[in-house]
Amino acid sequence: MNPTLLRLLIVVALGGFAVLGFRVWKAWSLRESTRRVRAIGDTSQVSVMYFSGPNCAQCTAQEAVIRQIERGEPSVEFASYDASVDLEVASRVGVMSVPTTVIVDKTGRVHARNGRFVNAEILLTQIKAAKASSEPANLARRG
Amino acid sequence: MARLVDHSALRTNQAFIIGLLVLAFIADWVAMVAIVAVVMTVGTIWPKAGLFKIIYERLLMDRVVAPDVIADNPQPHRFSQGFGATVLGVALVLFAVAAPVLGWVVVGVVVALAALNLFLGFCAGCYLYYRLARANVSGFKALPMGDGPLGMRPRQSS
Repeated sequence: MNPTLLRLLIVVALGGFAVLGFRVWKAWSLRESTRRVRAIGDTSQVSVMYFSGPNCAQCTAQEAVIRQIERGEPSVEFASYDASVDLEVASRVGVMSVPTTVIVDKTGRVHARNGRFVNAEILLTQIKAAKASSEPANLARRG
Repeated sequence: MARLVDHSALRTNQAFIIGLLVLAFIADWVAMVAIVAVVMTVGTIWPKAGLFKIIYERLLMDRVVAPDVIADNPQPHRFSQGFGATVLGVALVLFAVAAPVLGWVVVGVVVALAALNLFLGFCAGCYLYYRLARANVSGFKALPMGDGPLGMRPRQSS
């Protein structure tokens, strides 16, 4: 085989493995979060868990975004935690940094988690997706 | 004290490093590895003269790439680049002593770490810098920004 082509194939294969590895890791991470969140308690509606902490400038901005969304989404449950006080919950959810937001669907499945500041647009998209995944037709498809 | 760092410039730098080193591997072009090592060394010693930074500032900024200026320490990023250049130097020595496979593996490590920084925001060199700073090693003075994991890109926009 042409050595240049072989090298190109090696690069493509390594890149493919890296992407695949990242996807597997992300899926495992969400499944692990789901297991931990379900251990905290039952959820009957889409919820947003928000973790903040002291001396966190980004938390002030994240808090404002959360409150803004909370006003427009009465069907979504919002739970705020101080990661330095609510240590057990933060530890169970695996919070590594603040602000962290975790979007949970009606079945208790973690739909998305953000270990950084996220704007209203991203959060609303994630909430919408969590609501859609909780629809009966999608639940049946997920088994 | 923290200063402002344009992370788009850093990402452009990483994209050039990854692109050129991958190209060097495909074409079996060791000279390109040497060129990237020299550019990284110059960029570490004299950041304003870094070729990839110059390309970013003169050709890409505000045209192709939007600046992403955030409060951050520039020192860990310089250290990281210098560390990458040193590792490429090791790869060049391996090429010189007729160990090309090992040389490309070492180049691959630099590509992987730059990709980790570019795509996931984790700077391995910065992590090492902050570990040394916490251990009070002389010359490593900047302390981590924010509450995020060590080495991760700070998220606060200026």
